[in-house]
Amino acid sequence: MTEGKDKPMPLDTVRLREEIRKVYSEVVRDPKKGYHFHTGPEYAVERLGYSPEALAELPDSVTAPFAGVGNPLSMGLPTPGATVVDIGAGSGMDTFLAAKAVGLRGKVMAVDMTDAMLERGRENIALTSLTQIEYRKGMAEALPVDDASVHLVISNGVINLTPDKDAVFREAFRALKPGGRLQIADIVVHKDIPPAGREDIAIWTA
Amino acid sequence: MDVEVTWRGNPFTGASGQRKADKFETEGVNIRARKP
Repeated sequence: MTEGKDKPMPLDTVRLREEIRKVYSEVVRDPKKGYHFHTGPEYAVERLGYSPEALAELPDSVTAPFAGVGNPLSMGLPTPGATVVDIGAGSGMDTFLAAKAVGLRGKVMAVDMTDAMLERGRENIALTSLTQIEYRKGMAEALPVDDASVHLVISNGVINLTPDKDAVFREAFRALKPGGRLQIADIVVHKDIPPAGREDIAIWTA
Repeated sequence: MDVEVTWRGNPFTGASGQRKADKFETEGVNIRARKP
């Protein structure tokens, strides 16, 4: 059987992840360069309802590369001593806010697949002394987290970039303790993306 | 499982990606759910 000329190529998930890594590594290196999305703490306060006081307590290296699309912790902070997972934590603005809430008896596992983000995140732990944070390399579809081990899963602008969204939600569900909460911010589309567009990496990353 | 959308907005307004976001009627959402 031959493929039709107009049939879209299957999505190359390896290349997609490489492109995403490239974009977000650049955001860490040069957060004010200007991207197709907004970045930084002023945007977070003005558009997404983050507390300016809370963000002022965090170093610029945490807040400047912020590129979220909503505010997961606006739906409730974790309690002191809680265990949290941040899927696609990036430089960690939500991670560090959650870490302040859980305190030294709690734990925040910041999962990211991009080396530049992991490196920046670990530097930020050293800067802030919020040692309840642990950066772990991993993907949203295969969280490096034990079953039923966390009270809260958060994520901000990441799931829309994942090729297998069902797997992400299965993993979040697996990681949560019974009664645990999922609080995510992300983007949804109300107009159907044509099949060719779904296979186009430029649509995913731009 | 209870799922609730607690916020809707347009995080791309004023960004260079707004045109593409508008084309597909993109919307930012905050969503919460609780595992039974």
